Amino acid sequence: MPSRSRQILLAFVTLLTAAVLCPVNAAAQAVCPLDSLKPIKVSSLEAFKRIPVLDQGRIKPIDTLARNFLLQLSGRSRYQKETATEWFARFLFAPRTTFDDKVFLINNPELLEAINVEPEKKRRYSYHQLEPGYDKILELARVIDKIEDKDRSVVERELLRLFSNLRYYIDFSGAFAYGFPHPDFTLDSLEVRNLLDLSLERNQFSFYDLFEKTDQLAAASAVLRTKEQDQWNETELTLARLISALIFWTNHYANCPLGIIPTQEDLDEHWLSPMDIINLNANVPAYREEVELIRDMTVHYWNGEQVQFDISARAFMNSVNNRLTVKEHAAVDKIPLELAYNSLGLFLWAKLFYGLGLILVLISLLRSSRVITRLILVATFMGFIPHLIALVMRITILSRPPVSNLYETFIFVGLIGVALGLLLEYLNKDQLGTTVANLCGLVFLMIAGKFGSDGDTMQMLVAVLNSNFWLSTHVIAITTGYAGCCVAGVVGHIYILQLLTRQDKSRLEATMNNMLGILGFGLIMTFLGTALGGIWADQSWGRFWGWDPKENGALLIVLWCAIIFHARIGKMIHPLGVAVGCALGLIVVMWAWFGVNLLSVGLHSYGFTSGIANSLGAYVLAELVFLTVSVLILGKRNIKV
Amino acid sequence: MNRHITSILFLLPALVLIFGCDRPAVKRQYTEIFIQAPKKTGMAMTDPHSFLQGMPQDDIHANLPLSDSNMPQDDIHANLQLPGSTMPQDDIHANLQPGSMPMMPGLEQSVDRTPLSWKTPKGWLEQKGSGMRLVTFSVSDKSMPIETTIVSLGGSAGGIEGNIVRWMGQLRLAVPSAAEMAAFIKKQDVLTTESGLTATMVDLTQWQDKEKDTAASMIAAIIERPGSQTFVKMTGTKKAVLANRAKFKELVTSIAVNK
Amino acid sequence: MTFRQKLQRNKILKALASLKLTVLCLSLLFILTLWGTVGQVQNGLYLAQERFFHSFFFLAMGFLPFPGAQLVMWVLFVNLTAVALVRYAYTWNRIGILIIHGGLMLFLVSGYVTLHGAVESHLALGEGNAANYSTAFHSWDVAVWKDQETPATGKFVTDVTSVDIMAFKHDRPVVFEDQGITLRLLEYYRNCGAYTGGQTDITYRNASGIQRLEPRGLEKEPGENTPGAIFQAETTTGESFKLLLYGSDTAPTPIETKDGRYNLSLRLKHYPLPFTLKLVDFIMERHPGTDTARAYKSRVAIETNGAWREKVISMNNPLRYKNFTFYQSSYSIDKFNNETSILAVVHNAGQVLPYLATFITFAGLVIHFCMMASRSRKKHA
Repeated sequence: MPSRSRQILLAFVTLLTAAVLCPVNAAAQAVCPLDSLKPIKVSSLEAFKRIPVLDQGRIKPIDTLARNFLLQLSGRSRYQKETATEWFARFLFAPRTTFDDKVFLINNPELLEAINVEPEKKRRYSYHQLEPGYDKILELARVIDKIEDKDRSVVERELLRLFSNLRYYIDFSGAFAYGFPHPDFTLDSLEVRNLLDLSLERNQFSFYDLFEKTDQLAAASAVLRTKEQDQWNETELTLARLISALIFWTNHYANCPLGIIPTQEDLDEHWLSPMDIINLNANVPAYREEVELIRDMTVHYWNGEQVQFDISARAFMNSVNNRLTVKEHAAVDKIPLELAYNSLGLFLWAKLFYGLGLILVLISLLRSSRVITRLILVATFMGFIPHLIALVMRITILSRPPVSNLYETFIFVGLIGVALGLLLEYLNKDQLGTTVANLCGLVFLMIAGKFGSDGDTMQMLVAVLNSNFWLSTHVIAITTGYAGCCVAGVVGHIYILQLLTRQDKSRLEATMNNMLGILGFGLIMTFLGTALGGIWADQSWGRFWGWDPKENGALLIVLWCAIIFHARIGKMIHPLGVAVGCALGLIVVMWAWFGVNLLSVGLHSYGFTSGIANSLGAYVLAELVFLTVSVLILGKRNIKV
Repeated sequence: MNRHITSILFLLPALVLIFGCDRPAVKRQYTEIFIQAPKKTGMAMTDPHSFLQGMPQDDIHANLPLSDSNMPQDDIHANLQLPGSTMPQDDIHANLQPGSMPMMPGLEQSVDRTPLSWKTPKGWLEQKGSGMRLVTFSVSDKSMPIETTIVSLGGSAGGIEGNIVRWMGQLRLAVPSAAEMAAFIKKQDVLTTESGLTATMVDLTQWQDKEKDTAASMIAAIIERPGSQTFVKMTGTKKAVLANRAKFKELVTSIAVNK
Repeated sequence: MTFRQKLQRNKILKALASLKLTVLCLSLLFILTLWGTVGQVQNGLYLAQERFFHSFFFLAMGFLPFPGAQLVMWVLFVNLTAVALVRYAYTWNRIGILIIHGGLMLFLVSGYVTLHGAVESHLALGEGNAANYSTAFHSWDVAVWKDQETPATGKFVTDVTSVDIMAFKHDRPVVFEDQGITLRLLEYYRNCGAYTGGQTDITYRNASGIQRLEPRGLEKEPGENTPGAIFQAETTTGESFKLLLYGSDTAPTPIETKDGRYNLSLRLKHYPLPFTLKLVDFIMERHPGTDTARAYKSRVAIETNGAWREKVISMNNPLRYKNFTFYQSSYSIDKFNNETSILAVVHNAGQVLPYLATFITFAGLVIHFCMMASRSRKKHA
């Protein structure tokens, strides 16, 4: 008997036994021995994770898709002990085993009440827990969809997010279902199996097994036309059942968003899931091969056969690679780079080192020594290097400057902030620069992490943003300006702290000069960015300035810096006033950067995260308290604002 | 003194401009030119399947209710039943009693996947087929839109009369009497393709003499092969279909079985 | 005394050149920008613009007069002029500052020119259609033209005479001499609803059968306001009747005169273009596997001096001709796959000024910063 049949038999002989022993009642969701059926799994997914898929307009390795998928559902990039890719593989090859995995993140307790789900401490729920409430979720989602976005309440937005995540999960779960044996295609009748040229040694078949025999099925079912339906015999009824199951499956599992098999449909690249390829019914032998190879991968995964699994995966990739267009090939060639980017966790390293630098700074306040100062500098560099490398990798993978969504702007501003800090350190060598650098690096990367939890951070852009030259120059200039003003704000805080701790005059003067220099730099770059934004708007929409919230935000920063400089020259404010102004400038920058997104109006609304409003509010409050208290204390010492 | 006079001299025209006397309303006169090109109307061409309502053979899925709101309970577990039972017992199939299988007539034929070859006529655009279609053609001249498909089905596919009646129903043409039908069939061209296959033309515009140019129409051809039939169908407005009739014949005669 | 020293004696000029005034203006501008941004959420961009940025002053909280951005920028312009006259040190080491502020003044000038000179309109064309005029966004006028046959397709040439509806003063006659029609405005509403059931004693002539206008408050989106007007119309044939024109009339209202029949309509202004523009083809590209538009563009042809020349207008590639610029703004596709491209048309004589101002100001900033930085290094070296 051919080895493949033997494998299938081997893998599913327990299924047969369980099916016979299991009680008939399908209506009650009784505990069934099938629940305990688990794939043996393969230990290494190296071959699997580099398979390219087309998702959201970009060709990426399955590894990236897996991470984004899990991140989008659960906000985490791991599931218990498994990496995202391991979990995703289990999800695709054996979806049932993930039905009890608590991967759906629901923060809002009101929502849980609405769908009748018991709250969990870790706020994550499994598919089985949410399944009974699905109808309710669907009904509510339909209603909420009709409400305009800005009129939706927090609960309503959460529900839509949950609904879309559930649909995402459900739609992907059936991607490889065609390869599993399924009761719909259980055939006990030898006669039927004979008619269809199916194996006589087993009775569990998959959709694909039956699909391969459509000709025989057609021939065998010709007789159904000749008789009245109530005169069909057992065999004929079985044939009818098979046909209807086939139809049902082709319809139900169609439109799966897993774009794993490339086609040349239309003029764009168009990648389809295996079931959609089957539905396509095109005469391309490669399609058939690839669909079978995925089925083989499924079988090997279940049997824990690592070598055969890898062979099938590689054969699949080779087949796909042979059919790619030049553009697709260029994207696929970047996959090893992207895998490296994914696995290196560069930002984590950067954050670690920046954090280490900050701790050392705090230690140095208690006990200064040259060794510690050197170590701080080393830590800063050790953080800067992975940060820089990650940014360069993003640019290479995406072939565009990395400043198109909020996530990316934080990464970029963080980098510029660190660079400015290092520059200050080079000019002054008094640890001011390194302090600023580590603080900026750590804080901005941490904020970036919050914005990254929306899924794929390497998104494709809407037509508006695709205008490369003005995009590169305008957004880079303005984020550099943000960085400058933020660094000036940090230095302003340091100045106030130095005043409070009664540092000597020369130290204070040096800090003040640095502050003014960086503020000037920030002003120039923000002005440039604002003006370039106006030019971009004039080129694209026909008007240089439209008082759009984002434009206004940038203008506010420019005005604020100008006010500080002119007030200082006019002796309306003293050095402390300048420092307070710079510190408040941080708030102005935050407002311009993502505060305006909370308003969601105008042409600039392409990024919005809830929860940020609360953090921003808390920060503003803390800042105002700090400034007020400091000014009062210093006022007692006759230091004027 | 000088300074005051200068100020007043500056101020006066300003005041005049601001408060102004009664100026007559300004009339603008200009010549407008507008060119209106003919618009596409009639069949909504965005959904090729909408043309083929009631043609279950052409789309294996056409009559299926989309179970959008139902959970995919059909993982390995949910449809479990004792071997030997007939219908899967979940609710999706609940409406299908063994006595009534609405999709059965549609499944008399199954798709025949013998590869065919053809020559695309000049001015026609070839697109990949989907579902049961081998290929779809459209034209680049958007003012006379047509759609042509090639479908191969196994079995005897209902006979020529059955097909004609069905197609006429789609075009909302009155079903003719048996005598009229026989006369119509006799009138139809029978072509031989380059590869020696016999193709029977079905020119439904012949029933539509009294209709407007914009009425929906169809010209088809049925090619008989041992064990299967190939349908070539061109649909569009009557005017467009007639204009493309020669090209349609070209296409039909060029069809051959790919070895 | 030099002329400059004489000026520096002038008390008014000195006051106008005060740094405190600068800081005050900048601060007011800051407040207005912030306020105007938040105000957009409630009232929409257009109304917020009009209230905070285009006005000289407005009433805060209903009663407190607060300067609008136009006033603040005028004062700032005067302040900069005064500073240039009496305060600046025209030396080489202040060259950066001088250039910066020169550039800023140019920004203010360009703002003024744009505000009063730029005209924005749009042009929506289906594939194959052409027009030699664009349509305003929310300026309305009363247009009069001679009635003519209108077949379904083909070229229509119409001679139009129009008057801005805002130019009609209440109860003052506006005479259309060539057409032999006189209109006297009786009522006008910027936004109103129209009803066919009217008052029993008055009948209005109107093509859609409207007999009553009901004034409404202004909408946030200015484009959602539909105006209506009632005139006393008199023709050369001696007729005198009440004419009602509504912005959303289904057809223009005809008036018979000695000359023939003329059509009247209250409609969005049509601005003549320097050429006829035809939409040859609208092309849309989507991101693979998604519904998001990747890019879309219009292939248009313009007729100048009898010859048609083609050009592609895409997202960042507008068509420029004299002082007109045509941008790809949007599109729509109906269920029959008829594609319509919507172009934004801007006529702005002062279009180049902001570019000039940007360049100048940025150059000044860089020069000044570099000079300050090198001076600071020298001091601490």
